[in-house]
Amino acid sequence: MDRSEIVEKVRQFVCTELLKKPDYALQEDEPLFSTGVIDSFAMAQIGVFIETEFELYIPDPELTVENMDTVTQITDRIIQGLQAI
Amino acid sequence: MEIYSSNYFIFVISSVFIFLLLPGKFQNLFLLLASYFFYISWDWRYAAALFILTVFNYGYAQFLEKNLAKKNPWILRAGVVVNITFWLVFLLGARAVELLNELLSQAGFSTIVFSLLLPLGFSYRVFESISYLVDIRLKLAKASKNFLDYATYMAYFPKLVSGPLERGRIFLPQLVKQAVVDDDQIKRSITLIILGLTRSIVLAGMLTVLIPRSIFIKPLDYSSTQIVFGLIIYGFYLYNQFAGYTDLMRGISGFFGIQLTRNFSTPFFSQNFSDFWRRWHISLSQWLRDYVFMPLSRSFLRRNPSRKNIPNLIIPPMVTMLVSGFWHGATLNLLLWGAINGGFILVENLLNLFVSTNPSGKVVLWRKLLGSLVVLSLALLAAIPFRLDLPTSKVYLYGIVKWNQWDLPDVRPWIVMGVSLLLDWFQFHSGDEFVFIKWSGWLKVSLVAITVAAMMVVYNLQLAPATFVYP
Repeated sequence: MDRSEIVEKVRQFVCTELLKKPDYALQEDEPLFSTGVIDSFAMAQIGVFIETEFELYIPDPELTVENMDTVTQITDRIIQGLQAI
Repeated sequence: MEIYSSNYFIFVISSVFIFLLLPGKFQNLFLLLASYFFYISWDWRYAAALFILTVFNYGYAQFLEKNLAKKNPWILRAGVVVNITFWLVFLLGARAVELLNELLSQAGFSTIVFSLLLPLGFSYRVFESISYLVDIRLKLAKASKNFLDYATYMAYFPKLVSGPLERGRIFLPQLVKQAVVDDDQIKRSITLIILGLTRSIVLAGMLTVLIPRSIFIKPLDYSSTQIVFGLIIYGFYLYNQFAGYTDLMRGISGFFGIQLTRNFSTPFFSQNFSDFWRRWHISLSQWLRDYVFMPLSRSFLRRNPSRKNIPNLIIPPMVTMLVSGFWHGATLNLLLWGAINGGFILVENLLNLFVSTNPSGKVVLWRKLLGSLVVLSLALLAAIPFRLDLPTSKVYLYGIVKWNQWDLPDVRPWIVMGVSLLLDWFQFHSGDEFVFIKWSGWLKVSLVAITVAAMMVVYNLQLAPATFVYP
């Protein structure tokens, strides 16, 4: 799976499940948590989405605003995790 | 050794002086000895309990790391259970001895002469130990192979009494490398120390004397207005004392080249309760988020990924805040405080199901102000059982709702609270905790002079607080 596919899956999940705006043109570097657009419960949803979609477990202490605030950061973390497997 | 005392001042100054003179290879040993000296000055039994906890967790971490490949969850759980048991023995043991003595006395037997006190700051040490073991199991950290370093982490005196709660994987690497105390660090440390003293001695000290004398003992002797204002003053007092204390400790720690976690980030500017708990007692809130809230939330979401599933929304925040209440002290009023705050987050989660998101993130000013006001008001109401036992909490709340009288407020505490908000506003608006460093020289000197003068007034009036213990 290449980077663009991962970005698209993450974007689609965030827009559909978290923002509830499937047609929203979410930018890759648009902050999500730090601006209060979505809450910390959504971070748990992202964690479970990554487990289900990519079969990758990201430890809870790493699911933070600093690490996972944008689509870019989430994608980078997924790629890092997949390469380590 | 009281924190706000000349003995502590001499202790810190001499520790910094000796530390900076020592060669690098002796610095950690010195910090360890100084930390135990400080702890023993309170009670040698505290130091003994800490040492036992340290030895156990150091050894258990080695065992955990050797068995990382094994899937048995009890390899980690056993370590966590031992830590919690050790903690509960002290936390509940004192109360159990009290109750036993009451029963013995009623039955005509002689009472047990035995005292069991929770060692100062022990709740922090237990949570630090648990996160250390969990992080090793999750392969986020390696077990320290240096007992001296690990013992220094556990006993480090700037965080010993009331935090911040530091993760081993963040703290320990700072002990391995040579301490760096450059000009930038000195400026930041001095800024934190001045801010810390301003908040904890000047502002909190003044608010202590401006809270009506017995309002938390006999609230119905006061008008409803005074009861409400007393609560507001208490909220600002608690914030300034706690935030000031941790800033002071962070500033001192900077002189040892060790960064401690920022524990408060302008909480009175929070927009909602999730935001509030990212700004208030941050080190504890993050711990609870990482080791209670997130694991629980994910566990429920794996069974049912829908956000609208009610157990997903209710159970994680309630359990997390009940744990927080219990951590603050195993009493019914603190559990109630935890439950109320869990309830606020729960209501927010439910409301978010019906409110559409605003991806632009832009919020108009009046909504921001309203949000902050609502959060502050509800947090203060929840603080009633935090401050008072249950019977007095009921009376205090009754004193608010019966609303018998409107008084003109005393202006003085509002001036002090205004200064507190102003300090916060500078940091909030600039997004920089150290914004004060960028101010002009004459302004900084003037403010420091005012602070020193105010501290002298507070000390002369014997308003300086005792060491802040939380919990």
